[in-house]
Amino acid sequence: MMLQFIVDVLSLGSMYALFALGLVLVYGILKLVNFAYGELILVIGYSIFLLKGSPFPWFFMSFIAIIMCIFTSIATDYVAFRPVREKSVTAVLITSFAFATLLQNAALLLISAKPKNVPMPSFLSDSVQFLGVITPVRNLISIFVAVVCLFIFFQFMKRSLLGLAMRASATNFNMARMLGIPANLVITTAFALSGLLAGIAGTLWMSKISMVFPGIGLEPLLIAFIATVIGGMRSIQGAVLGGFILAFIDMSFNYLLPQDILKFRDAFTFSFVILILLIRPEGLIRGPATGART
Amino acid sequence: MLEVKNLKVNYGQVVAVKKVDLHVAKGETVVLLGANGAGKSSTLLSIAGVSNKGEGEVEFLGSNITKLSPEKILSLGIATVPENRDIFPDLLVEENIVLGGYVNRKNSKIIKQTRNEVYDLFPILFERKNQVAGTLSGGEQQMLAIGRALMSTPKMLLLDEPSLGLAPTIVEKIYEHIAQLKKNSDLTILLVEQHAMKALSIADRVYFLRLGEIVSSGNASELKNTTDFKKIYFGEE
Repeated sequence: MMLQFIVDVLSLGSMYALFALGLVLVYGILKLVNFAYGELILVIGYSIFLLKGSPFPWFFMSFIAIIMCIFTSIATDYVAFRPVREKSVTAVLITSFAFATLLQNAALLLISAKPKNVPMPSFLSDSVQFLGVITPVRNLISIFVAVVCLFIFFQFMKRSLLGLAMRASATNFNMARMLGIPANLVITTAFALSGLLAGIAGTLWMSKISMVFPGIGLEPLLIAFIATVIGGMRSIQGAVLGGFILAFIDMSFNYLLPQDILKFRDAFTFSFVILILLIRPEGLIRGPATGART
Repeated sequence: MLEVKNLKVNYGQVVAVKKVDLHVAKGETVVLLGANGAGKSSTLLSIAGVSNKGEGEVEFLGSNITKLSPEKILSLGIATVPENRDIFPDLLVEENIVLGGYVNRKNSKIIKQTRNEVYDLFPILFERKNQVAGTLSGGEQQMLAIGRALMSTPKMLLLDEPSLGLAPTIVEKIYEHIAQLKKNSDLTILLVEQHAMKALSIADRVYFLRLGEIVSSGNASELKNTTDFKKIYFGEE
């Protein structure tokens, strides 16, 4: 029972953590929330859906979908952020919402308002049993993929010059630029990595729900946003921690709440999040000292 | 080498720099003196490309750099040590140094050589290279900021109040390092200071800035004892 719970939390938390990390990457540099972030899941879902029937193996389809995701994320920068970045926070808020709406409506208009089935390899849903735990293969894959991604990601941030430049830029963008670190390179990298992480998390998400619809982006956006708020908007470690804590809260309510109250789970989750923020308004991990928008 | 013409900087409605004209020749150390709020830092940051220039022109080595981005300006050879140091507190000392050499990243020989020079100049940084930069003392952070700027092998260094918030003995030390740096290289320096006596000790020429305008200028050696700069600090005669 205990181990079952841990596996459930970790597999859900893996997705949440990757989602949150992708959001906080862009926020860290620009101090702006990318509200079109959830739409990357939409891109993943519809890309795999549209490739259905192609002769490619599934892994190749999801690979292409992730590439599309990265591309869309970079496009978000060029369409919604870059033209108005210097002007005002409100402007970017509106343009990123507008870009999100544009993508949603494109899906509505060109494909359908109805949910579409996203093909997934059947082995992902097979159950495995070990140590008294019964869980679908995809849960174990989620955990494995997240561990590998997080490891590579943090190594990149720690060891590579570009990773260092990203961390420096998140602390003090102007100073980083005064050291010759190109603003556009850092921003584009942030959006690309954000797209990559959302793409990987989105594929895991798809393996869970196996369908896509125009409004699919809202939930992942909310999850990523809340996870980063819990963990601390300025810290990449905080985003990961926040993701796992949110999964822990969600899953605890899943286990604890009686069946007829379970549909109000989100209300309980949010109440709990408010409670955390009352105690730690900065989030759990504070992150770099200077967080002012520059 | 550097020529600033008719510079004006404003933040919204607030005018920080009204009109600044100055020039710095190759190898020279020029000091911009003035009280708090005289517009010294704004002038410097504006040359570095961070503050937007309201009006005016900045020329470096004969080419116009007025509208260039901070990263472009650095790559032309102007490195900045801003007020408050602005080191990256969460990164290691060594990582701060490495980032300073970003523009030279393709030339590991230069990086290695400059790094050795920086550690020779500031041995304490070498001792602490695996420490998180935020744990350094104020004076050490100042050394790190200077060392980091030197990593880009600049032709010109913009130094903003290296004495700020430091104990007198530490200020003494920092200035010894700057003097040593001047001796070892042909680095051109534009220094901004409130600490007039210290700055005059290493400067060739001085500009006095008051309420966003250059009010006078002259040779450092001649100016040390004039009443002129008392005026700047203490108001009218």
